[in-house]
Amino acid sequence: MNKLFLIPLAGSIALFSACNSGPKVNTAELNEALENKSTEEKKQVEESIVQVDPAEINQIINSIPSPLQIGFLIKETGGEYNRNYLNPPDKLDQYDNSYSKALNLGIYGADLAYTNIYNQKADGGEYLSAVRGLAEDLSIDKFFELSTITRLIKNNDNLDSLLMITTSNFEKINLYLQENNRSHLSTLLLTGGWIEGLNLICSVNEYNPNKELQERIGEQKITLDQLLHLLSYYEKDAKIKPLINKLKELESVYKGIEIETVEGESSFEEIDGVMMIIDNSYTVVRITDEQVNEIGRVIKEIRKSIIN
Amino acid sequence: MSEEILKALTQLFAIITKQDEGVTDVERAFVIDFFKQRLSKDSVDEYLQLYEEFLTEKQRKRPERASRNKPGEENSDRPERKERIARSAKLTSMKDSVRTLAICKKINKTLTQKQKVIVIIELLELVNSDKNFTSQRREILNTVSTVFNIDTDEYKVIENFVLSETEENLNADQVLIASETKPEGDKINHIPSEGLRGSIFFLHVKSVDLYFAKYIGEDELILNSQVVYQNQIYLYSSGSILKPPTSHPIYYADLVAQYNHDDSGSTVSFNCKDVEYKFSNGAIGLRNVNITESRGQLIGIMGASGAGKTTLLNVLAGIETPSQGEVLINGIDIHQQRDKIKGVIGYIAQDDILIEDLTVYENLFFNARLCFKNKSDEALKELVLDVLISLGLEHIKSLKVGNVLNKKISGGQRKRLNIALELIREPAVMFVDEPTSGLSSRDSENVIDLLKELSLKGKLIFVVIHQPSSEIYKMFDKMFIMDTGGFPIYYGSPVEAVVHFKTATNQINSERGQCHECGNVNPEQVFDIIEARVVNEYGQETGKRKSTPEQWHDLYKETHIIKHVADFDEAPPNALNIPSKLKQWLIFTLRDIKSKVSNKQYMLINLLQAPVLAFILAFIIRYDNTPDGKGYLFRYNENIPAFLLMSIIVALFMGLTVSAEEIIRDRKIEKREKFLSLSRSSYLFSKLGILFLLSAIQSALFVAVGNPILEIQGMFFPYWLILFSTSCFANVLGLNISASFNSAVTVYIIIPLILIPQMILSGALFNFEKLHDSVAAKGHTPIIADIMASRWAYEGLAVKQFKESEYEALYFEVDMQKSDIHYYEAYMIPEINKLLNSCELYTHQGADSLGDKIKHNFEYIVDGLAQLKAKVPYIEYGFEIDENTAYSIVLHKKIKAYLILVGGQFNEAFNKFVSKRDDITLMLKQLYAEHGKTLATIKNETFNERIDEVVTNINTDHRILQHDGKLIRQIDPIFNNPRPSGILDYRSPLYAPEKHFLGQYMDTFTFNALVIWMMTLLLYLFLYFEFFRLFINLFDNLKLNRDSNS
Repeated sequence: MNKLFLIPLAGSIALFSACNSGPKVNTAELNEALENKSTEEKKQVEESIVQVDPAEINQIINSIPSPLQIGFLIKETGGEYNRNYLNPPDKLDQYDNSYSKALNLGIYGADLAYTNIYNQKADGGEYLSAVRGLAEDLSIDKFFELSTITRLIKNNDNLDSLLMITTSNFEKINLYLQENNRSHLSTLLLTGGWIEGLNLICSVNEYNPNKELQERIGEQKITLDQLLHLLSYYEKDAKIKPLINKLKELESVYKGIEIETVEGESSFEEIDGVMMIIDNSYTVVRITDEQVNEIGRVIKEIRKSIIN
Repeated sequence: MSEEILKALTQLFAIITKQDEGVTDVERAFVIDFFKQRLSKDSVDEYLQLYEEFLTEKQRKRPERASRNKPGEENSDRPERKERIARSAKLTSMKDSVRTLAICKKINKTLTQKQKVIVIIELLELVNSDKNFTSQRREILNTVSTVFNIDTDEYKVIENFVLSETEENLNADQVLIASETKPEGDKINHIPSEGLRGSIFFLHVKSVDLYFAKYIGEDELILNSQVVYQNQIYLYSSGSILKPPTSHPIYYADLVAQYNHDDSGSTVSFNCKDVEYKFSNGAIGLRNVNITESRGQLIGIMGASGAGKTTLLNVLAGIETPSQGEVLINGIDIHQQRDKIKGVIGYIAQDDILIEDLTVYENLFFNARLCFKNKSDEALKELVLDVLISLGLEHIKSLKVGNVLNKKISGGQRKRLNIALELIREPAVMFVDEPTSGLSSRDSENVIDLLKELSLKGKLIFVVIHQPSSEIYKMFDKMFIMDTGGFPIYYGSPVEAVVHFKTATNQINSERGQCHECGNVNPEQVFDIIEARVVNEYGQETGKRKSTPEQWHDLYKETHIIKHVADFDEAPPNALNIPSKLKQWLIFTLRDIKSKVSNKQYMLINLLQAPVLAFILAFIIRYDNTPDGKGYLFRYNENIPAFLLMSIIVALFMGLTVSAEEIIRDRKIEKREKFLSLSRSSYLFSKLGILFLLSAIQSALFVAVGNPILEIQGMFFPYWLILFSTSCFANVLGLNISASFNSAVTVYIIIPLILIPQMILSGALFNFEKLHDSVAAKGHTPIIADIMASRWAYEGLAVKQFKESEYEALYFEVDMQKSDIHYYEAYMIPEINKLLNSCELYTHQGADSLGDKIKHNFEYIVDGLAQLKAKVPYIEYGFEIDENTAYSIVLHKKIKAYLILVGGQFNEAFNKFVSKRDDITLMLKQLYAEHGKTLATIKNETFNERIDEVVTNINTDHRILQHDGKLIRQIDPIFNNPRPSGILDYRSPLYAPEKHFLGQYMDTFTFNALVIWMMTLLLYLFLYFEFFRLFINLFDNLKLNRDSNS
């Protein structure tokens, strides 16, 4: 009987000791490492923080096509839903600093919009939790309060309100980040969203070439200019600099593309008994297939460097 | 008697009777008689034949001698013939001696010394049967005695005792004579026996401690219900009673007492004067009780059921205090001066006080250990064995006692063992409650014999007895008879009692107490008379008694005049030497461990249930949970918080069930131990010690099985500590329940009543924010939850699991700073802004009814500002504000300006922490790479997402809450250190990382473990002072009163 007593006891002690073995990084070790980090580098980071005029950013934000608009465009041109275009939602762990988190939040946000447009509830849920996870890490999850999210999912039959909620959410986030001296994150968020949107169009166009899509790809020349302008404020930030360089590479591809705006007379039209002014101006985008392919290749590369 | 002894004896008989002139008829008759007394008829013939064979065998060998040896020749005076006979005698003697030697040696190997003494006495009797004690026979017997290693002097006395028929030659210490007149001889012991014709001789063979008796006279004596033959030797075994027809019976104990002359037993006087006893409900239980006794008496207490026998016994024993009168032992009031009387009184309750899982020997041994401080283990062992032998329990000493349902030893043996528990310390006054109930008549007689023996040794013994047989009834020295309502109605000789009541009712033969022919007394008769009922005209008994208890009591008062014996001055002998509390604790603990370990089922279940439950629980909630759905990672196990809760419930449940029955089971034993003035705290601590040890093992087993299955790493000790603490809490709680309720069933019904609230209010099942208003406390855990051990345990574990997981531990500090700043920046400042804006709006609207709203809002603004001020005390408000300040547009603008200022500070700080966190990540990646690991693996192995969600309260709808004039933080309780409102404020939200008390901050895990132990301590105090029991009694009494009122 006494022996019976001892066996489990000895076993548990053995287990206990086994559990605590193995190398482990402790806080002291960590702090030491942190202190060793050159103070210069820190100073540099602090200097790189710049104040950007909110009005300017706002203007740019409004001119950038929202991921939802891109989604609609793709759907209208007859593209089938394809999950392979998207960034798999289980890669959160790979984004371990605020920069890559912000960029990928933009990417996942675009992916979420895409799934929503195609009414892919299951995939949408996964992207939603990915978005939420990154937002949490960036301390902006208050815009993804449970009630908001529930509303978002419930409203997916009502595309207008989905559009509204999503855009208003991202607008709110942008505003909030700017107000809180974190405009660089807001810029990154925008950039991420834009990159994913462009990539989506390029991918769809690659398998199913479409004139309208190609024109849209060309049109992005304007947005890219604005983005680069915005990003130029953060040129000193060593973590943003590589992104700027890559986007500049894209800019050089875009150089050969011409966009011409044809002014037209504004006309009045009665819609549902209300007089509306219709702007009849339109743009003409001159873009070759080679250029489209080149843009597709470069944007894929940029995206790859962000999501991996 | 075994076959071997019989054969040996038969051979010896043959050798002896063959000597000299050969076997005589008388001798042959003796041998036949001897066989007849001991054997069945068939066997008698068989052995007789054997005897004859042995005889003839010898005769054949000595035909010459046989022909010459004629009766009477021996006395011939012719010398040559004499010489020849002598020579041949010598020859035979030689041969027979050798033969005898051989037989005796054989016997030596098989018989005990006691049996050998009996054999030699049989042989002497055989020789004595014809008074044919020749030198040759004597020589053979001498040989036998020598080979048997019987002391020569002792043998001489035995020989004399068997051979002589008068007092002569018997002048020895070992001999005792019972006769009318004392014979001459300085060494002779004598028992005066009036009316005895002839003498009874007793012999004590000291070497083997045996007593023998023989009677010479004309009376027909009865020994143990058998007729005694003249001049025959009888073994006077323990408990024997020798009854002469006209004189006092002689008890075995009488004899022992006489031989031992043990007058060292001090004198005891026992006086019970005018005792009255009232029950707690006011009913009178005893009235006008007067008893006076001194040492060496066996007093019976009889009465109809409900007459108050046990009450009387309890009052006399000092357990219940009388409402009037006093009970004195040697002049000491046993109720008022308990200390002085400690150990004098022995009390044997009707209840079984044996520990069922211990053996007979262990029961007695541990009991003795508790009574004798100074005795060594060896001495105690001897004492216990002696007592067991004297009670005839030695042969079952290593049997488990078992319980009434699972019988291992007989009822009589149980009772005797119960008595032995008290007997072993030999108290001067003993009280025994119904020792014969439920026993067979044979067992009953044994038990009363035992008590009688004790009384003869000088003890004063009171026995409550119910329906005794005639035999038992007559054994009492005195009888105290009571009638319903506590009225004494008789006190005196038992046999006289019959006369008393017969006379009172004018019955025929009223002067005859017992049957003349058989000496039987019918105690039932007494009660038939006392309770005789009036018969109606149809001859049917009515409910009315002929004589009421009062009338019998009146008669008692007339006929009984009690003269109290003088109180002895000296202190009564103390038969109790209690060991120190620590020693008691050790004995209790040892006793309990022994008893538990010997119960294999109990041990097995208790040791197996923890690992089995852990396995079931952990196995079921381990599932393939990686993002790709293949394989298991601790990080993504959504069930971890539920696992924590279940572990705690298991700990509580195991702790409760293992302890809930402990005290109930021991209650009777506890009562007795209280009687012995043993320490209650020693007892309780022994219980705690064992239960805690068990809890420690169970918790360790649980964690050792559960954690590895769920791959919870590096958390063995914290989990174990919390589960162990919880289990200990439950142990003490269980002991409280056990000590408060009367039956095991009630206790088990109570368990869910305790467990379910522990589950509800653990914080794991139901959100504390979403409880009924009367219960919930915003921003704190509810008070009602704070009294639940489960809540402290659960919080402690959850916080520990989060805060000190290998992954989070590295970030915790920066996460906390980040979260704190973020709360003010992202929730507090916007909230204040919102409030300010609505104040502004209300002011513009200007309605009077909005004044209250403004005031209401402003309350929150003031609180919010105070919180900000506390966070950044170095930034000045730039305005005056307190609860009484009124809202104004000017103030509004100043506050806004302040908020922008503070907000800017927060922004800066926040960004700093964000980049610091990024730096940490970078560093960690490098550091782990050096260790050959990745940060992601560490996170997967030690960080749990679900725990993270729970402790950060990320899913809450309101991250900041307006409640009762305060802005309350709901988000990230794990990073929210409490803001105490006073030095005694211990309260905090659930999952706070640190706790405050008495101006000190302490890690939540440590604090919570301490709280559980404080609760345990408190419960121990409740247990010690029987708080719950008193409470329940109060409740019971209230109910009783209401019942009696209605």
